[in-house]
Amino acid sequence: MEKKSHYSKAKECFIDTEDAKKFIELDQSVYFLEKLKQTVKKPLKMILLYGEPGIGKSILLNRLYLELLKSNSNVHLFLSPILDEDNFTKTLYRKIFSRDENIDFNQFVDLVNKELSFNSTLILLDEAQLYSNSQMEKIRILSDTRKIKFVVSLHKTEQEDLIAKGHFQTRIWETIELKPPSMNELETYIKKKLLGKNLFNLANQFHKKHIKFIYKYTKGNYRETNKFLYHLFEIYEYYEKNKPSKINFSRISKKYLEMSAIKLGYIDV
Amino acid sequence: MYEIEELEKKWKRYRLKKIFKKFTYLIFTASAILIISLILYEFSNTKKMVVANVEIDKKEPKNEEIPKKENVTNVEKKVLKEDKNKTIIQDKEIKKIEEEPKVVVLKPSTDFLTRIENLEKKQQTNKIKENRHIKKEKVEENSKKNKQNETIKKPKIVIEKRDNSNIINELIKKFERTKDPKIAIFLSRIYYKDKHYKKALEWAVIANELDNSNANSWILFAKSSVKLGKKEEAIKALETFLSKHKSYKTKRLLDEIKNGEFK
Ligand SMILES: Nc1ncnc2c1ncn2[C@@H]1O[C@H](COP(=O)(O)OP(=O)(O)OP(=O)(O)O)[C@@H](O)[C@H]1O
Ligand SMILES: [Mg+2]
Repeated sequence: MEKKSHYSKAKECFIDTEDAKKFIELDQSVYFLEKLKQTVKKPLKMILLYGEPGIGKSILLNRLYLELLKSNSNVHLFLSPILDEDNFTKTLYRKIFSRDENIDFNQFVDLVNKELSFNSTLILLDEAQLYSNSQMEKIRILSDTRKIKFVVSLHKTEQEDLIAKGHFQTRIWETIELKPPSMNELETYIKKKLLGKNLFNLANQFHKKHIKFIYKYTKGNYRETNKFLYHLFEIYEYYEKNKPSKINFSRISKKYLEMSAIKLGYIDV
Repeated sequence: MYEIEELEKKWKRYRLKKIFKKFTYLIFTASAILIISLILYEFSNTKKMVVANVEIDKKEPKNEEIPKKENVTNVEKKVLKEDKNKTIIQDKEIKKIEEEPKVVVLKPSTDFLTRIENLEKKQQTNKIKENRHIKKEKVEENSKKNKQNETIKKPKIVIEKRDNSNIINELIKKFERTKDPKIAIFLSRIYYKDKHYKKALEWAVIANELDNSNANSWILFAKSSVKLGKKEEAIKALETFLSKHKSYKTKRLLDEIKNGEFK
């Protein structure tokens, strides 16, 4: 069996994932995770989590779900929106009550009021910007029961739209905004990713100037950084296979970094 | 993978572009610096020109400073050659010229200035020549008017050192007032240095008449005598002095004259 090269392993580190187990503890992410954990204990109707795409909302929500599950069984996570209206009610019903009958929204609300206790259930909704207005209205009605609480995650621009919608203003009790990391934080992110796969050597080859180069183009956005490093190690993989003499195994190549930037369209040629 | 080879080609193009950019930037900045410094250089030159003109304009009538010798020397030489046969009276004239209130102030600081000066001097020299001609003709007639004319038109030139005439005239005047033998010795020494041995001898005698105990008057008398071919008189004088006074300097000169070392 052929042994996987370091560069191939490194490349795989940077495939996009929302897997809570791959969550990396960075200053900001740890801070927000704790904050969310505290916030969901409060008797709020709704918590808004927002930030630009690729900033780590989904993975944070996943991680929150994973950690809350340890102590609380009444947490439910919806990673992708339930686009069909009828399906929406049915899915919630199934998740919360673990039953599988057809039920309309009014019946469902009655059931919630009858069977659930105050502030007992937490629902995490990712990609909330994709929900329709009527779905959002239903979420509002459910949160008004004070039995179900929602953590709603969405893109920054939509957050403004949502808050602008009058009927949400009074219900959003807490908002949490995720911001791009600092350069140091991005360095930690990259190195922790590599160290997670025992790629100590590669992690050590990243110096400040390399991080700076990457940061310049990705502005710290995690998804963009993932793409950048994925391409970088793909290039390494290629040269390792075809022209290994060209590779300097002791330091990250500026040339390959530039090639990645070209490939991603950061640099025009 | 074909894709990555394409990418490398793109990268090479990008590198070339970058190098080219840097290069053009370098050339641009270099030429910019060059142009700026040229402009600055030109500017400062123009400034100097203006300043120089202003200075000349301002100071010509004021007569505050005396021009520097170096710049005048050439002209002086010319003037002097032409004026060779002039008498002391002429010397005095020159001196008066010098004392005239109008003196060109020439402050050489740049090539440009020197050129201007030279130009001016040429003009001045010409004027002097003209004036001198006029003067020579009219010396006996109307010297006062002449002098006035001169002052008005006048090239103002200071002649110094080269023939010591100023100092000499100054000293003669002073001597006439004070009858100081030291001045006579000094005059004798100046004439001797200028190789005017006759005059040197005269002034040595004058000094000696006033104070015959000063070895210097005897020495100057002896030296001038030798130069004028009167070696015997020199030896006699020195021996006379040495019979009354002890002077190592005099003794040595006497020996040198005797054995022909001093000619
Ligand atoms: N703390 C973290 N630990 C590990 N990976 C992270 C972390 N934060 C972000 N990432 C990585 O960044 C990438 C983008 O994160 P994520 O998908 O959560 O962004 P998002 O904010 O949900 O974007 P979108 O708004 O487009 O859904 C993911 O691949 C994720 O693995
Ligand atoms: Mg997401």
